[in-house]
Amino acid sequence: MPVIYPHYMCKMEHSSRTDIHRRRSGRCVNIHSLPPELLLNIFEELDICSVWSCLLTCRRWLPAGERVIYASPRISSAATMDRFISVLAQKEHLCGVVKHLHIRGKADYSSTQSTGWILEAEAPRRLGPLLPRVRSITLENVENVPFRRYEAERCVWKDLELFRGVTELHVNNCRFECAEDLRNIIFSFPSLIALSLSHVRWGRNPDKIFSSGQGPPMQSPRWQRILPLRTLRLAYLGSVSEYQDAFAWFGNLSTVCELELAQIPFTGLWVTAKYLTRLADSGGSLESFTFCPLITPGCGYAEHVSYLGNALKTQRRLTKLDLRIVSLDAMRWVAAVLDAARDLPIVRVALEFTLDVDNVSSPSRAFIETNERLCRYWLKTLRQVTLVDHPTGNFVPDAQVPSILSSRCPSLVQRGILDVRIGVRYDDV
Amino acid sequence: MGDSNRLTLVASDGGKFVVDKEVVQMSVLLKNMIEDLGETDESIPIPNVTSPVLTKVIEFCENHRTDAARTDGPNVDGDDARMRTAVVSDWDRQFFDVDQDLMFEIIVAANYLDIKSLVDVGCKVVADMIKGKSPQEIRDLFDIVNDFSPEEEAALRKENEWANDR
Repeated sequence: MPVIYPHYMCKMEHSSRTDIHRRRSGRCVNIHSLPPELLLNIFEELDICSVWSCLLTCRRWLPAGERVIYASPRISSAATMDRFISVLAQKEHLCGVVKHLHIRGKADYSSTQSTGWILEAEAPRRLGPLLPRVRSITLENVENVPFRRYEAERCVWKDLELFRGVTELHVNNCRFECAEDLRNIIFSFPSLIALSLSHVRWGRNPDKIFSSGQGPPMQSPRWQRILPLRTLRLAYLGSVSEYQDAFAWFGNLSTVCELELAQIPFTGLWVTAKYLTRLADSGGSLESFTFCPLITPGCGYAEHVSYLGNALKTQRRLTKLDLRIVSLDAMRWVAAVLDAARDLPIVRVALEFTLDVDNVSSPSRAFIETNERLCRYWLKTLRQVTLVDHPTGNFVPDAQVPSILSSRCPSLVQRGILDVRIGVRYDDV
Repeated sequence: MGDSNRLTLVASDGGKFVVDKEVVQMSVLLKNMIEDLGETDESIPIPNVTSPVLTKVIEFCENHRTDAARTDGPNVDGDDARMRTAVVSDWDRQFFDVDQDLMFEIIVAANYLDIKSLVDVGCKVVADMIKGKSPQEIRDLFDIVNDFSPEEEAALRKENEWANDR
């Protein structure tokens, strides 16, 4: 009996344009044979200048080139925004292509120049209704924009709400006049699932700024919104008080399950502990915790890590720990965190560090203590231990790293759960 | 009755290839087909792929057959974006060190057979060929005719000036 093959095995039809090209060129298959989705895949691998070249190569490549360029536009000035909007007015089909909007206040973060153009040019009001499919917004180099003074004339937060589908917000290298400005921005996106604040500062005394009573009341019903936030990344915030503010804003959200903290001082861990305890009390739990403390000379870690450890014990669904160790010589806190998580269902542990010249010949005592715990704890649940070396300089050739680290963790190797990787080379960042 | 762990693929020009099922299953298309057909001794025709191309595709799958197992092993979730940047290995680069016709035939075949890793590597290799080149250099590289008039090209440059603000 003959086998009847499924319909998807039938012969593929080629477009007439490809056939014409074949006949002209006498070739069987060439770059013109690639379907549009593959052309798009190729363009997505390119830097923006190269995509530009592709876009100008021929008519057939124009749509894929435009899709890539318009998917993640970066708007850095009022003039750029005007030009961008005028193109979209002519090519409406590109409005739906925009997925990631990047608003950069200014090119140079180190200057203190205010980036008021964002409001003066009415960026949220004009871009919001135009770009219905934006899922992610990045604000970068935004500096002392007088949001609240502007709000006295028009509700800028309502303008931001025009970006209805935004689920990710990234705020990088920004300074705000007061915490309330940032809080209002965040809570203007009711569907927010992931929030990342990196190198962000804000003023501590809004009353000083609005002494003449220009601004609206400092409380906002918007702040009571229950955001479906799952991922929270806080990195390089100005001080402990900024971490404290941020945690207070999200204290009522039991959905957060992925927390990443980078460069938080040990003295700020009680703030984290308080937040985690509140999360557990509301029925929530982290599933993933990434932690990179700021090590300051002379700062004892034990007391501070114990606050964090006690709170970590309450995170009953925590399965992933990613601990980023700046210096292998100062990693004793790692063992303390592992001790705290001992009774949790940990499946994956990642330790990230730089294998510097001092640690090549023999492991530090703290590394040995850490390895001992990885061998003894979570025998039933642990399925992966990843050691990531972020190389710097040329102390250790990348090719030698796996054998050096594997030789230090024979038990993990034997269990088949050790994974050694080369991470981002710090020199390249 | 033949070896149940192996099956025969028939290329469009009639060439026959006996391969391990495990290798073939890197192709989502073939994997689904094997599931739909159940146990059979029949050969599977690959109507769009010639023997030289199918030889290369099988060579790639043979070489990467353990990749999937590796992902199921220690690499529990693979959701770490910083780690996800797929790198084209030396072997992959060597694999694609063929003439352009064959390179594109392999990519088109991989797309048809739904072998994601081969499509991804192929696209990265082509992207590497394009990187840093001017429009004219790209046209020369791939034998592409410039079908823009000078006025159209100028208009396109002007229209997309906003994108230069980086």
